[in-house]
Amino acid sequence: MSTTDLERLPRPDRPRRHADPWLWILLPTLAVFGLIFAAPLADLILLSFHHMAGPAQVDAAFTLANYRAFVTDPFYLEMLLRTCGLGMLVTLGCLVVGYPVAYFLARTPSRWRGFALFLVISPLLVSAIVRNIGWFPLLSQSGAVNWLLLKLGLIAAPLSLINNFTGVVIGLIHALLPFMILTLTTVIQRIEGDLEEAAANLGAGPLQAFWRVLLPLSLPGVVSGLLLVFAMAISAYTTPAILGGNRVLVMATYIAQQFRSVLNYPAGGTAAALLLLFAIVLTVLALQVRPAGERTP
Amino acid sequence: MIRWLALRATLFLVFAFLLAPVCIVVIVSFNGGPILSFPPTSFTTQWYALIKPSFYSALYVSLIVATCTALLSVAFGLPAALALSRGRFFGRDALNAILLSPLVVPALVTGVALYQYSLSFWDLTHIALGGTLIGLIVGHLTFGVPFGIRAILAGHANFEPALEEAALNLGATPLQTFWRVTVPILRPSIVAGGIFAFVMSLDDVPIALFMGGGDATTLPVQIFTTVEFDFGGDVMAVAALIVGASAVLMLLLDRLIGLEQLFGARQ
Amino acid sequence: MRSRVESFFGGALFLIGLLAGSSATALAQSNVTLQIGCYGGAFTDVEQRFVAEPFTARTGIKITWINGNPSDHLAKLIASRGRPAPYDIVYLDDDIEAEAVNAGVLGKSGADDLPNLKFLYAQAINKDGFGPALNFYSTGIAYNVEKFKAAGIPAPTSWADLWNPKLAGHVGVPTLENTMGHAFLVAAEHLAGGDESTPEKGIDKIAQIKAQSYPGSSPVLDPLLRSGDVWVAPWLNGRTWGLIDRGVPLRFVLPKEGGFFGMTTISVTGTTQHRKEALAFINDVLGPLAQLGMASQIPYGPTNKLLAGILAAYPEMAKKFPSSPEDLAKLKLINWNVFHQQYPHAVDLWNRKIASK
Repeated sequence: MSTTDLERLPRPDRPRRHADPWLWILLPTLAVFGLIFAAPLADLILLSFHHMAGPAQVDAAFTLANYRAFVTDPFYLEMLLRTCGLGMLVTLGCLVVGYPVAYFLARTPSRWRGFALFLVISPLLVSAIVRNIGWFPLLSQSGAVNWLLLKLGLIAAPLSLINNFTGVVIGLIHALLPFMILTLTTVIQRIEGDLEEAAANLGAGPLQAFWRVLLPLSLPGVVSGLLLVFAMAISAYTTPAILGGNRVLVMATYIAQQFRSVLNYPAGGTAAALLLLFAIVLTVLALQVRPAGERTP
Repeated sequence: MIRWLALRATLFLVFAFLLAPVCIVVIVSFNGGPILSFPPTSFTTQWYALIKPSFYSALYVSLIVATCTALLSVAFGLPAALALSRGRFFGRDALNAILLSPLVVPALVTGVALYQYSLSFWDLTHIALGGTLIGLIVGHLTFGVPFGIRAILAGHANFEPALEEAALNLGATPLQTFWRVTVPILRPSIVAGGIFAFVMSLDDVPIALFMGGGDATTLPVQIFTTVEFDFGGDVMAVAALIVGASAVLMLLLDRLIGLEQLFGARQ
Repeated sequence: MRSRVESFFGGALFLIGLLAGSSATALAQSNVTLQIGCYGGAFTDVEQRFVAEPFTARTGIKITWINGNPSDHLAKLIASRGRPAPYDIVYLDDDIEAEAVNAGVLGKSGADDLPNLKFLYAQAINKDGFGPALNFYSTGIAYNVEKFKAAGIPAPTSWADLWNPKLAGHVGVPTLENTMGHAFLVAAEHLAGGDESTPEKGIDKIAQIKAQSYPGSSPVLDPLLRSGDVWVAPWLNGRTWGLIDRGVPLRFVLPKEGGFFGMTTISVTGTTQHRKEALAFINDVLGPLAQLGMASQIPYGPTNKLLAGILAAYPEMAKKFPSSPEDLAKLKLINWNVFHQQYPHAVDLWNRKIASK
């Protein structure tokens, strides 16, 4: 079918002059979202425009002082940067580690494919706190990984794999990998295998076929997966606390601390609002990656 | 060949990485040694016998909540994902980003916010949501719906509208086209979104801590409060039991309807 | 030893059962259900077995447990200010109770409400008339005997021993946000010549420790002590004994400066609609049988003085927790009001000097 034929067909996403009917279809979800998430959260975040007046209490006067204090303090900006760096590292790690697995799962004819998919999500079935603590015997100084590496003579002294930034990255990649793999699998599955074959027939090597054909075609779906993983990486606080040994302060651990222990709702609300704003801006930017030919509204 | 070997080796390593903590949990749950340690010293099944009935009732609550959360998440996620990928309206990208935002907010904050809000709701209607299954499901929908939307958006990215058009041209109504063409094509990502919502509901502590309690205590909350006092073998046994039971369930599903069906045949 | 306590205890419960049986028909008509915020796990199990079941049999009042962390209970109570509380009764650690009092969410309970109050040790009674303590525990030093011997380090006798350079990389320092962390900050403040009002001194002092990690809760520190990655940590008596009983080569000592009191308090909430029933329940919790029941199951010391004689007869059980007036004399109370005034400042310093280094 040529492009001109397609243009003539009544495409569901043809631009319209009056209100797009898709808005009506979006409405129920938006209403539920507003009712169960946006409104409660706004209620809480509004507290960040007041001063703290006792545990979980605020005074009446409106102020921007909490925001000013946050954005003018290099300590908090560094924390935001650390959070962003962590999110990107984890997202990239999930992509690199997850893509080959997703490719295999999407293309394999094996009858064990379904079970392999189950194995991918099985780590999520182990309660988060148990799963995080399950890393200790593997990653600690006296743990299995260091033992093996020492035995093989690959390292001279045990590596510090937990209680630092490395530990948080390992733990989060592990926890979020299933989301990346499953998302990518559904994306790659939708791309015709014939295209890769065609590329191979035209003399492209496997890497070239991946780089020139598969990756560009899967990019919009990949972006969806990346956004999902990034969002979860910057909002996680249990894994950073446990595997970082409470040495890696990120936005989410700070927010949890202010809400839970200090009961400083204005400070926690300020950080949560800024994290949210930061993520929304980043998401909108990432969404500009579109398949060739699609127009922005 | 070399390409397949490299892929196989990568696969093996990634699966080893993914499954390592799961294996540790399962092995430790059979460890009869005096210390809950690794490697194990002797074999026992005593921890399984020590699992308290309250864990089973909590598991029951969790399964109901997770199932409802998964179904509703997909039900609200599918239309939203279609609208976000096909609609051409002002602010589409912003709405897309905003609908993802519950995943960016630490769950604890959502828990506190929802709890406060449920009290305002009580002021208005005298309906208590806290401590009920409905309250738990509402709480879990905050992250379930974004999972549904995100997974379906990803699967929709390479959607070929020609198939729908063909159906419409052949005289199918839009509704028929939706059920017979659109949904089957998107089924793998719909299932993925449902699975995300399901497992995250089964793993959530902070929201369930605020919205649950009493008869509406979920398994993760039960585990979380138990280990505060005693990190015993019974907790490991429960954790292992869930993995084992899910594996059996998956194998059964595979035999009965075939997971291929769920995840969609390759084209 | 335990079996003897249990058999004694079984007999006592049987007696209660008889008493309850005879009066049950008269009293078991209440259709009130008390909502109780508690910790969960073994703690709630014990309270269910030794307080709630006999209580319900005697009065007909039903109990619903809502399990969670004290700080989460507090957040819920604060959120519901001005409305009927989500709990009628709440169990809180003493540090959190002080915050709850500041937040104005607890109700008072005096000697008129609680006949058993007069049998409690003075340290267990809240000076301002809020919920009393039902048990004592202590924050001291847990250390690995074998690791210390192998490294040629003498057994710790003072908080200052945690700064021994030979222990670098093997100290588990509880993060500031939990009860142990609160107590350890006060210990460091005292070592540095300050007190609860000078967190900067304590935090500078703690920052000098070469910590293995800063565990956020007991279930995280627990496996580190088991595996030997952490050799020494400021920790609670109960958790240490839990590991010793499982064969981990640990010992629990109170430093010569004194360990710190920890206690579980039980309070009626400010806006409960069942105050009378709630107070009756709390009075049972403070009674000798309930407290002995708890002590026989989990290592918490009773606050009821009437039990001193029985505890002295069971030294194997009593050595695990503060159990006699002499034991209590080795522990110090923390001024939580001063502590909490400085707490946001302390956390800010902790974040800058320790948590992000």
